[in-house]
Amino acid sequence: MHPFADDRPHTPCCSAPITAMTPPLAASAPVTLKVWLNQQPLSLPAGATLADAVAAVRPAEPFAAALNLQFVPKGQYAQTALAEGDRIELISPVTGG
Amino acid sequence: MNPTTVANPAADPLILYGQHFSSRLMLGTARYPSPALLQQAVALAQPCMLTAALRRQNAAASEAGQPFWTLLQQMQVPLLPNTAGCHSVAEAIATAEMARELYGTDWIKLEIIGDDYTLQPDTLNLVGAADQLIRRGFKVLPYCTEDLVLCQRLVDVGCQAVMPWAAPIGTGKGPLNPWALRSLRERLSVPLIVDAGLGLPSHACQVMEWGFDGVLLNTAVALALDPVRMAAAFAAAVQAGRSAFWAGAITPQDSAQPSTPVLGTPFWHQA
Repeated sequence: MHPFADDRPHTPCCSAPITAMTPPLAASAPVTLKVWLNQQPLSLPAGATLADAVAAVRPAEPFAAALNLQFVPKGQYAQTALAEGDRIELISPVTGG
Repeated sequence: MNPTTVANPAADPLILYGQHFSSRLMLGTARYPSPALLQQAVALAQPCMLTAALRRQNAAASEAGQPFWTLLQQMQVPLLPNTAGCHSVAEAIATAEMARELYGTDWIKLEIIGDDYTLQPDTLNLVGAADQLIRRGFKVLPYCTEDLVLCQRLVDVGCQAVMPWAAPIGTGKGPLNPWALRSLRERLSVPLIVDAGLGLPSHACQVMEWGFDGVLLNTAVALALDPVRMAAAFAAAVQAGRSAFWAGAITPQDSAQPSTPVLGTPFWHQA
């Protein structure tokens, strides 16, 4: 599934199925922040950063990330605060033409 | 160009953004029956670049993630990530930035789809996206239509090569608008690579004869009954077309021209 695909009609060139990386996470701290990671809901403690979201789903390397349609370099995950409703995309290499 | 150069692809390199490539064939990595067949096809065809994409992680897919990453590293061919599936400038830029970090390359095949049925490029947004990506340091190879003015605008914003389609992606129809493609070749001096729509080695040979600088293939090879043999056939066709371009074809004539000398013909008769 293309990283930014939402409710669009089917695109013939994009045949990979939508697959959540992990089920939604139940954080131990009081849950006050809900974000979307690869279109799946993810609950995190207040003040969570992108690094926390990545740690919650433990994606296989290599991967890259975008937050609300903006690329976030790997070195900035810990400084990137998340807000309610943020949309995170974690992507990996795949065959392409 | 002398005959020695024509016979030796290394002496007639494809030059993109100042980088020299000895092959004029680019291969996609999708839709092969197996990773092993992709690897064999690449080994035989020796493309100058392999295209690849980005998607959300899908642990079950062998054509994605870590296995595909390992395969790419084994093949040791320069990579050309694409922005396939993007429908806006913002999506294309974010995807290109992620691709640069993930694949470790500034090269990007810029795709912005304007119509999901034909996969026709969004020609109205392509130039702006190319402009922004070039300003961010990317080496942009835009997938576009054969429209002359569009291609000229892409060159104007800094694209040092352009990749017009021959026909819609995956159709294998070959060049649908030869006149426009040949006009494009006559009008633009930057490298032109035909991307998408080729189905036969003869299609590739044809556009190379017209003076195009390379071709990018995926489906025509990957879905052939024997992808490895077809990859080799396309590689040979690209070289043949390039040699024919430099050799200079004859001008077609309306009347027959005997190739055997007429002078001294025995039993000569007056018609």
